[in-house]
Amino acid sequence: MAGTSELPTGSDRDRVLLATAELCALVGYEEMRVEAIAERAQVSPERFDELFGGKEEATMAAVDAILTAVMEVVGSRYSADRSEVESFVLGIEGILELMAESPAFAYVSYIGARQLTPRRLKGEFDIGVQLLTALLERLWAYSTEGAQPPNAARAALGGAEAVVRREIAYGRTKGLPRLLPDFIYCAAVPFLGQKEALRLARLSQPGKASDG
Amino acid sequence: VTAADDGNPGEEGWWEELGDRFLGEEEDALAAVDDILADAMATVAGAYGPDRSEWESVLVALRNLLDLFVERPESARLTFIEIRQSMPESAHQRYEAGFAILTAMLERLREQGGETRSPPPPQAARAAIGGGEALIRRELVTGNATQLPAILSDLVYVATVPFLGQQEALRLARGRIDAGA
Repeated sequence: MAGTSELPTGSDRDRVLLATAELCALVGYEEMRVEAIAERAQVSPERFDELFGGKEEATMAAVDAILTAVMEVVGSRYSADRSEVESFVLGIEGILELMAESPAFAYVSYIGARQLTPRRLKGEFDIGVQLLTALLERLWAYSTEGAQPPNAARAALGGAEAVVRREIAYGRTKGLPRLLPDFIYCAAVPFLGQKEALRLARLSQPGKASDG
Repeated sequence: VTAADDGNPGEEGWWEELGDRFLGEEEDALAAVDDILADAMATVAGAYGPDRSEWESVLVALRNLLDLFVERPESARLTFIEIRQSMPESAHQRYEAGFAILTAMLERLREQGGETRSPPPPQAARAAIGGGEALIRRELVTGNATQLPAILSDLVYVATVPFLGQQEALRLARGRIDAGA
């Protein structure tokens, strides 16, 4: 299902982005060297400089790439012939599959990026977080409860992030899609309540979510 | 893809001081982390008592933890932000161990009731803790440590809704507001 995403492949720039993500996962941001990125990407150091100028720029571009892919995959699951809630389930499924297919990019976005200079990256992440939070908050429209705790969507996102980060840190990125029912439940329960969240979680078990 | 809360230090002077105090000496940093985690665990443990229900104990523990972070904003920053960005791996492992304990405490509440007979999925407790963690981190990053008690009702809601459902979680969250939290 994650085939709708557009992570980089092929060009010099794409190979540098992939090499940056992979090396960041292997040795960490601080230990990563431009020469090693260039060698892994099979480009000359001069070519690397032409493309990015430094490891921070390359890492930011790698983070941008996966942020863009996440937005693409989520956007592709929303369509006029699906309910909002169904689109929501498929969107989460798409994000997990994207991460599972691209463990190096998952690592750089969830873990490696935290080691970067925060000042440079904050704006990048803020945009991604705000978009995903806004999507989650749309679920309030389906809540039977009038009261709406203002930070519920941000907390739901943070909770999912914590679980994803742990799985990536333990090298279990490829197994993320198996946790889809858990993510669906945790993201939906603040807005839709336990019964509906459990129903959606069951619906999202492998082989069911994408049938609708 | 949500590391948005790992932002900038609020005050440059404090940031440099933190670096001088902790970042140069791994042992000192680990000692500081141990100190914070020990205080946090003592705070949580102190919230449990025979005269309180499990849920009531959780709510008291949340409030007391926020009070601790308000009293010691530098320690809170170290715990929620610095460890994740540049502390040694051993410090991060301690941090995770602390959250594993909190997660286990929430797990105890799995059978405490709710809108359905089916228990929440296995990751619910870790996600609930992670959600609260994200809210606290956001306040710390923006230099609002003194405002942490204002998010208590949100923390109560996100910690309880996976287990008790919306109605009960909202009732408990409103209770925190009514109590002046």
